[in-house]
Amino acid sequence: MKNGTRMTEKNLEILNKNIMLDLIGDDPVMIKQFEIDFLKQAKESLQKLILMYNQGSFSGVKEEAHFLKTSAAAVGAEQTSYLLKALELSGEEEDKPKCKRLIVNIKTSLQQVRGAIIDDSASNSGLSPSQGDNAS
Amino acid sequence: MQSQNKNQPSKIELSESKLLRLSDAISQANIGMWEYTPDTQKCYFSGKLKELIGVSITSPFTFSDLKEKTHPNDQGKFDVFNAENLQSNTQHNFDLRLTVNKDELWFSLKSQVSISQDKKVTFTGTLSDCTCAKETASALKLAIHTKNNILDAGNIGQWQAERNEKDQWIWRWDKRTNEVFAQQSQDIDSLNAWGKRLHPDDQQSVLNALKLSLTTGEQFDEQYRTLLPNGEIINVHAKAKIGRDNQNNISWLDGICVNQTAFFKIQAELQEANNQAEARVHKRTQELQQAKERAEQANQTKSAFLSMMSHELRTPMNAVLGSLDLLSLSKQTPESKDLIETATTSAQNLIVILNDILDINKIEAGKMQLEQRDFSIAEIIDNVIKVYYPIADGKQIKLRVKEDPLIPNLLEGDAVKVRQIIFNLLGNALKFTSTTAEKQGEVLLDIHIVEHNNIIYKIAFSIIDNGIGIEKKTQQKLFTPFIQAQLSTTREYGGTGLGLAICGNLAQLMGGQISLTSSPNEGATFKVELPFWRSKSQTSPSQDLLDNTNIAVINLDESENLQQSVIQHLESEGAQTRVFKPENIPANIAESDMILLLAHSDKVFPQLENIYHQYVDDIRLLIAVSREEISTLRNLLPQSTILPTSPMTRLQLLNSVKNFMDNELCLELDELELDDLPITPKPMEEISDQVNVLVVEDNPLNQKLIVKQLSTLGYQCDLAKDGLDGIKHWENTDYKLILTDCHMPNLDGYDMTKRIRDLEKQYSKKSTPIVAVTGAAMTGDEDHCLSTGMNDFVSKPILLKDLKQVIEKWYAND
Repeated sequence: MKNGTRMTEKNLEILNKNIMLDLIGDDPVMIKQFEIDFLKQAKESLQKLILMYNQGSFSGVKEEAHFLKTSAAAVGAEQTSYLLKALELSGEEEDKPKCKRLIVNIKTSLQQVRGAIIDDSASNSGLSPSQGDNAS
Repeated sequence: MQSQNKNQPSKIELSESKLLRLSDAISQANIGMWEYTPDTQKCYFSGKLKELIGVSITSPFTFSDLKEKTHPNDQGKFDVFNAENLQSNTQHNFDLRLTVNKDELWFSLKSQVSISQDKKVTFTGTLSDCTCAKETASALKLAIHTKNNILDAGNIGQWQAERNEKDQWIWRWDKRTNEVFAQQSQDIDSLNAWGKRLHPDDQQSVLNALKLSLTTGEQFDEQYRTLLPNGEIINVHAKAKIGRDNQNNISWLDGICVNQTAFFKIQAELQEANNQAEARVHKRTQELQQAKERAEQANQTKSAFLSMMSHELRTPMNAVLGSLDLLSLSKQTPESKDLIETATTSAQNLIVILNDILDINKIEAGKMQLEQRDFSIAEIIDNVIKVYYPIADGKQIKLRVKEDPLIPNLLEGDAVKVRQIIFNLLGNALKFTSTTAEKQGEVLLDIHIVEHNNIIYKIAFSIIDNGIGIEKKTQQKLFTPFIQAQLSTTREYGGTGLGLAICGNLAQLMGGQISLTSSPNEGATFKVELPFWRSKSQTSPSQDLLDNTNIAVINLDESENLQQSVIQHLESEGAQTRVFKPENIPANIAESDMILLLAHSDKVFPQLENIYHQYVDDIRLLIAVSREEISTLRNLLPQSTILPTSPMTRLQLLNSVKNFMDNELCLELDELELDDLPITPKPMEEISDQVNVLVVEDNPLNQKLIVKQLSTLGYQCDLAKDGLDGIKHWENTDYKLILTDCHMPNLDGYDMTKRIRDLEKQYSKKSTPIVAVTGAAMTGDEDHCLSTGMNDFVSKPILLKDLKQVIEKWYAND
């Protein structure tokens, strides 16, 4: 991500590898750790988001979205970060249907991030993405 | 002629006077007098005589009249008065019967013959009433005769002793007594001869007893043996009673004796038989006691085995339950929770079954106790269906459930036993039913109210299948323990045969009954009717689960079966429902609290999809769909909330709707797990003692990131988790630079900066550069940062070069 460049939904990547390179340099193991840490953190946050949504706590939704947004941005989960920012705003606006839709979309985007992390691991280990751990 | 004194009575006069007095005396003695001369037929009868025989004194009465008046059987006795060659002074006496005033009386007639000089015979005599003496003699004779008959009949000997004037005892006994002791006729009345017959062992005691009776007057009552001349020993029972004279001296002894050898023999045989019987009873008792002890030992062994088995199976099952419990405490998706719940229910059911094995013993021993507590039939049904649906699904059997919506939520009874019965019967139904190319296997659990009043509800649980069925002749014995329909059944289907026996016994124990209707190859219907007390805790009206909930039901199916059932259950819990067809959905449907879409078949999914997308943003949507179509619907509408049907229990429906009302959004997050990704954690670089930078950041990932970045740039830092923690660090260390997030819990970066600046002024400390590192990118955020006293502002994520630049800018100011 370049400072001053406005993101749009269309050109955002699921997992922009360059972001982490810009942040901490070329340290693949550390980058992988950050990605995994992010996904764990994202799952916990998503559970909190669902809980707060069901409880009707829009401020809670907004705070949690903001919290996760910076992590997503840090690991290069650009689409997720974008959606979280939108959720942050929707929470502030107390737009319930939009919040619901965004939470569902965030979950989908996180699934895609997960897929990207797994695919990247497989390719780095010399396996095709579809082979997974069972390939010899 | 010799002269006499006129004042002196003459001899004749004296004789007449004497005769007159004698006649009066005889008359006073009720003795009649008579005289009769046969030759002349002349006779005389005294007045007394006529009075005695009831003849008027003045009426003429002849001797022939007397004979005529005599009883015909006695008239012959009168022939003596016509006899010839009678001698003077000879007496002729006899008794005769006369009828006097219609009573037959006995008279004693006495006569004496006198013969005159002219050879004439005259009879002079008396007649007296001897009826009393005659009757006494007759009675005495009869008594003696009777006594002798009795003694003869009883073969009872009679004996007696009498003290004579010389104070000697004279002994007498009759012929029967002599026969009893086999004595000769000359031995009769000989006490010595009798004494020799006594058995030597009994002789002294008998003689002593006899002596005692004669001296003290005590009754003699002895049983003793007698040794007969032929060596035979007989048993005699003798009894006697003493008699006393006017001076109360013991004067005589009357006794009897009876040969009771036959009785003693029978008694001895009976005693022997009794002894043998007692011996057999004793032996049998010992055998039974041993058998009982062996049975008790076996029972103890069985109990120990059951206890051990129960323990050995329970222990791991408890571990399974514990693990599931821990698992359920962690955050799970609804589907995962459902699986955990099913596993938990199955494990709990298994433990209950272990208890049931022990229960059959309790039932048979009459020791089974029933609990009376409030319980929910709907919960039991839901529990059983959850356990058995996977089994039915695996066998491609259609498992359906039909619950009466009017059954109260709580009834009082033994929930465990009810569940056990349904569990067993439903398990059997699924076991003996299958789906083939020709027939779809179906099992229906139907629960409805049979009758109820203010105290009791009678509920019928029917388990209906179209499985293999049972022949009539084997239906009755199915409720006997360890009995299955046929041996082939056990071979093919397994099982202990305990289930129906337990069900039958439990139903009976609860005051209910179980019935079976079945035909081979046409399935079976087990119907259990059980009475339950109305719950006492429901005396006050409680709030229904779905009170004031408006539910719009859109039925996309052609059938209205599911719709009717759903509506009944929802309304029974206080929900207000409106039902629509897809083509007439009103514009104001979104005013309802939720929409329940009934879409049993996938044929209506395109229509369902349109409706879903049309209303999903405006109102809660719950889709009731057959379990078979769930995966199809998931692919079509991944974010939809689904209520599985076929089967669908009342509890499942109500809880799903309630949960859905309370928790609108449910997402499956297991898909985000990355546990299978191999990662070697890289240790963090050691932090040197020279720490000049404080990072205030609540997000662990951002903390880790900035620590890594600072480390890359050659700086070490302390970490604070929020503004309060940041102030604490600032107070303890003189940092050259503070990098802080803005949005944090407890105290955000803005307020932390304000406080630090205030404290710096208060303590006249040198100002520490504070740089905001924030994810906020709103217009005006930078100005806001600077207004709170921060020195600079950078956006997250901060690039390494930007971080280097900002540190060099502020860190260098030192």
